[in-house]
Amino acid sequence: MRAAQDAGTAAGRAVEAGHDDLLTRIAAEPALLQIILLALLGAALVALWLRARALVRESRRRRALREFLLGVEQVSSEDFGAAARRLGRVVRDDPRHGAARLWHALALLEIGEAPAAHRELVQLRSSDAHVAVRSDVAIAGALLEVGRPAEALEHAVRAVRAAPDAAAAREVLADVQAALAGAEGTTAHAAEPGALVALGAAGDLSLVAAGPLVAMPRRDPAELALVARLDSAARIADALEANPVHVRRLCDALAGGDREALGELAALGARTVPELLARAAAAPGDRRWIEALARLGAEVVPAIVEAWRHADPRGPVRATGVRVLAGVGRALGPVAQPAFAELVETADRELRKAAIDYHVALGDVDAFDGVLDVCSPLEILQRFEEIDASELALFLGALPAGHVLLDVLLAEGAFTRDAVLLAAIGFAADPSPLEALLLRRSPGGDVVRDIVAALADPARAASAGRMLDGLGEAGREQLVAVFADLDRPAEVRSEARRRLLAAGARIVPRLCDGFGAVPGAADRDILGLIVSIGADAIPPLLDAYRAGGVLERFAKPLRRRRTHRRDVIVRALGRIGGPSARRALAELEQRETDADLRLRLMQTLHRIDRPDESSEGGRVGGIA
Amino acid sequence: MAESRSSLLRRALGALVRHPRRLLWLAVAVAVIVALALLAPALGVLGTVADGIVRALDPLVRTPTGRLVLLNLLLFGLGVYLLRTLRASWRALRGDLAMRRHLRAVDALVGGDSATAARLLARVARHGEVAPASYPALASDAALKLARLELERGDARRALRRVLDIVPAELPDELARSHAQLRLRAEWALGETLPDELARALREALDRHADDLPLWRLCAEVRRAAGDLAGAVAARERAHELAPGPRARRRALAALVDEHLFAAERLASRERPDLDAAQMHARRAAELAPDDPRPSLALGDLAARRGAIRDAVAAFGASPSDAGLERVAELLDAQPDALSPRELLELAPSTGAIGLAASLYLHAGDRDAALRAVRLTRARCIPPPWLAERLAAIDTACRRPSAGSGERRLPYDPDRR
Repeated sequence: MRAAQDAGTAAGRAVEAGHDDLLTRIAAEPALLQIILLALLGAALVALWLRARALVRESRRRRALREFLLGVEQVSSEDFGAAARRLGRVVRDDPRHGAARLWHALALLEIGEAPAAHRELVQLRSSDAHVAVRSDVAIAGALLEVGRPAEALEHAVRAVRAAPDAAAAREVLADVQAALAGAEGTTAHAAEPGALVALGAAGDLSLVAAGPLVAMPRRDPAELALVARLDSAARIADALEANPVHVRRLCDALAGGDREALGELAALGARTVPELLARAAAAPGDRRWIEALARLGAEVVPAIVEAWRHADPRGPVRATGVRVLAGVGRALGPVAQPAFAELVETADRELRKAAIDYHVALGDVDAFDGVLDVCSPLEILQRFEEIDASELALFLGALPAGHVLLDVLLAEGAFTRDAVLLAAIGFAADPSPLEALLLRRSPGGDVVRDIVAALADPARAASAGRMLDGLGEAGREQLVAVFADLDRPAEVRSEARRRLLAAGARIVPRLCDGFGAVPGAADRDILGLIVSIGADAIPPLLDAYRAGGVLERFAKPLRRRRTHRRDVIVRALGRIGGPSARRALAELEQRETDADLRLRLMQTLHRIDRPDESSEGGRVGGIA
Repeated sequence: MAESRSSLLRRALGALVRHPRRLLWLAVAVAVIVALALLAPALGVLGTVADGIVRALDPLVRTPTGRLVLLNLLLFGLGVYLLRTLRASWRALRGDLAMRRHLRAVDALVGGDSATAARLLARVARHGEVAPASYPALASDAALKLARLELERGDARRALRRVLDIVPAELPDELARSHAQLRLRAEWALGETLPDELARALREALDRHADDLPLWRLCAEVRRAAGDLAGAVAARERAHELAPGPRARRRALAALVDEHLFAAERLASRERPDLDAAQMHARRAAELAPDDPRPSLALGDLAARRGAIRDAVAAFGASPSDAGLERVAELLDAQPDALSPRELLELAPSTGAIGLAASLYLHAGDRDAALRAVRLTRARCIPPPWLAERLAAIDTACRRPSAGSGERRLPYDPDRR
C-alpha cells in the first residue's frame, strides 16, 4: 500500500514538474544530448553548404552581369577584339543570354568574323522587339559580310519595317541595296525583284518608291557606260581612222564568219578595196570577198582596177585580180556596165578580158555591141573559149537571129564549144538560128550524143529531133544506136523509135545491121520497128538478106555457120506479109542453099498462105 | 543467415551504385563523421568556452537587475542586427532596380531607341550612390553611355560635364578607356580647350590606350586642324592598321584616302604650293583607292598645273568618272594640238574619250573620223548633257559644206574645281 502511495506521489510530482523533469531527464542522459547536438551540427553544416552554393551562384551571376556590361561598353568604345573575347565567355557560360549573344555577334562582325557572327545570330531567339530589330540589322550585316546580299535584304527590310526611324536599320538596308546593285550599276530593285515583292507585300511601298534610303556610292548606268574602259585604244583609233589595220581586222572577222563585218567594210568605202582584193586573190573560190567588194557599189570597179595596177607584178593580186574584177562585175549586174564599158576601150588586154567576161555574164546583147565595136573577133572568140559555160550559154541564148555572132563569129573554127551552143538552145527564145549554126558546124559525136540525150527532155526534145533530122545519116545512126541500147531511158528509146519510124525504109539496112550472129536482147524491138515500117521495108530487107551482115562480109565461113540474122529477116518478111513479102520470100527460098534457112523460108511461106493453120508460127531465134 | 546478410549487402551496394546521388550522400556522411572524430578536441574547447560564457552570465541571471541588463543588451543587439539587415536589403533592392533600368537602357540602345535609353541612363546615373554589388561602376557606366548619346546628339557641353563628373581612377580599365575617348571627343567638339592642352591630353590617352581606334581618329582630326598634315595622315594610317575587321578597315581606308586628298589639296593651294608633296599624297590616295575617281582627278589637276598635259590626261582618264572626262575636254579645248586623237585614246581609254577624240579629229580636218567617233560614242553610251552638246556641235560641223571647227573653246582652269 505504502509503495503504491509512493509511486503515485512520484507520478504526481512528475506531472507537476513536467518540463523540469524532461530537461533533468535529458541532462541525465548524456547520449541523448550528444545526439541532439550532433543533429544540430549536421543541420548547421547543411545550411552552410546551401548558403555557400547560393553564394557561388550569385557570384557567378554577378560576374556574368559585370562581364556582359563591360563587354557592351567595349563594343561601344570600339574595342571589338576584347569585347568579342569577353562576350564569348559570357555566352559560353550562359548560352541562354540572348543580349550577350547579340552583342557578341556585333563584335564578331566588326572584327571580320562574319561566319561566326552569322552563326551566333541565327541561334539568337529573343522576344524583345528591340533586340529583334537590332538582330535583324546585325544578321543583315553578317549576311552582307559573308556575301549573301539577297538573304540580307529580307532581314534589312524587316528591320526597317519594325523601326522605320532606326538609322542602323536604314543604313544596313542601303548597304544591302548597294551590294545588290553590284558593279553593273543596276538598282537594287531591278536586281532583286523578289525584294520588291517583299516590300510591297509588307505595305512598305514608300520604301520602293523612295529608292535608295541613304546616299550610296551607286553609279549611274549611263555614267558607267561613259567611263567603260576600252579593250584596246589602238583598235578604236584604227577603227575611227579606218586605216588598213582596221580593214585587215574586219577582213579577218569576215573570214571568221562575222557577217556584220560586211556592213562595216561597205561603210568604209573604196579604202577597203586593196585588202579585199588581196583576200579575194588569195582565195579565188571564196565568194565572201566578191560579195564584200560588190557591196561597195559600181565605184568599186575603178578602185579595183587601180589596186590591181599597183599590185605586185608577181603577186597573186596581179595574177587573179582581173578574174576577181569580173566576178565583182557579175555580182554588181547592170549598174557596173558603164564602168566596164570604159574598160573595154582600155589598152590593157587583161582588163579587156574582164570587160568581155562581164558583158557576156551581163547577157545584154545590145551592151555587147560595144565590145564588138572595139575588140577583135579573135579576141572575143578567145574569151568565149574560156568563159564559164553556163554564162556563155545564157548569153548565146539571148542572141537574136541574124546577129553577127551567130552568122559569122561562132561559125569560125576557132570556136570549139559546140556543147555550149547546144546548151544555149535551151535558153533561146527562138532556137532555130542556134540549131542551124550547130548543124552548120557539123558537131562531133559527143555533141550528137548530147542531142540524142536531149530527146528525153520535153522542153528540148523537139529541137533535138530537128537537129537529128538535120544531121542526116549520122543522126539516124545515132538514133538506131540509142534505140538498140536497152540501157537508155525508155522515153529516149521511144522518141528514137518514133524518129526512126518517120525515116521509113531508109533505116532498114542500118536496123538489120543491128542483128548479130546470135540472138540479141534488142532483136525483138528492132524486128517490131521493121514490121512497123511495113511493105516499104521489103526491098531493103531483101538486100540485107543477100548482102549479109557487116561481120559476115568480112568472114565468109561465118555466114555458113550463123544464120540468125537471115532468120530474123525471114521472120520480119513473114510478119509484114502480103504479096510483096510472099514474092520476096519465094525468091529467097529458090536461091537459098542452106537447108535450115530453106526450111524456115518454106514454113514462112506456108504461114503466109495458110495463116490459120500455123497460128503458133514457131519461134525464130527466140523471137515470136 | 549468413546468406541473407550477404544478399542484403549486395542489394544495398547495388542500390548505391544504381543511384550515384545516394552514394554521394553516403560519402558526405562518412566525411562528416570523420571530421567530427578529428574535431573532437576543438569541440571540447568550444564547449569549455560556452561553459565559461554561461558561467559569466550566470550572476546576471540570478539578480533582477542583471536579468534586466541582459535583456536590454539582447534587444539592442537584435535591433542593430535588424537595422543593418534592412539597410543592406534596401540598398540591394535599389541596386537591383538601378541594374534593371540599366539593362533596359542597354536594350533600348540595341534597338536604336535613343530617347528611352537616355531617359533610363539618366535615372541610373543620377543615383550614383546606389551601386549594386555586382557592378559597382554602374552609375559611371550609365553616365558614359549617356555622354556618348549626348555627343551623338551634338550636345558636347552636357556630355563633357557628365564625363568630368566621373572619377577616372575609380573606373575599371574598360570604362576608363571610354572615359578618355568621350572626354577628348567632347572637348574637341566643344572647341574650348587649348589645342596644345588637347594634344597633350590626347598623347596621354594614347600612351595608356595605344590601340584605341577612336582616339587615333580623333588624333588625326586634331592634327589636321593644327596644320600637321603629315601627322594627320600618320594617325589615319595607324587607325587603318588598327582596324579590326573588314568593315572597320573600309571605313578607315576611306578616311585615310580623304586625309591624303585633303593634304594634297591643302599643299597645292598654299601661297607657295608644294606640288611634289601634294602629288605624293594624291598618288598614295590613288594607290589606296583605285576605284575612287577623286585621287585621279587630284593627280590630273596637279599635273595640269605643272603643264604636263599628257600626265594630266592620263590621270583624268584613269579616273572612271564623268568629271574626269569633262576636265580632259577642257584641257583639250585649251590646247587642241597637245595630243593626237590616238594619243588621247591611249592615255584615257574610255568610251567618253572617243567623243573627245571626235573634236580632235575635226580639228585635224578628218571629218569622216570625227563623224565615226561621234557615232561610236552615241552607240556605246548615253552621253551626259555636256558631251551630248559637244557631239552635236561636231556632227553639225562635219556635215557643213565648208570645214569649220564649230567647237567651244573653254579655258582650262584646274583651280576652278
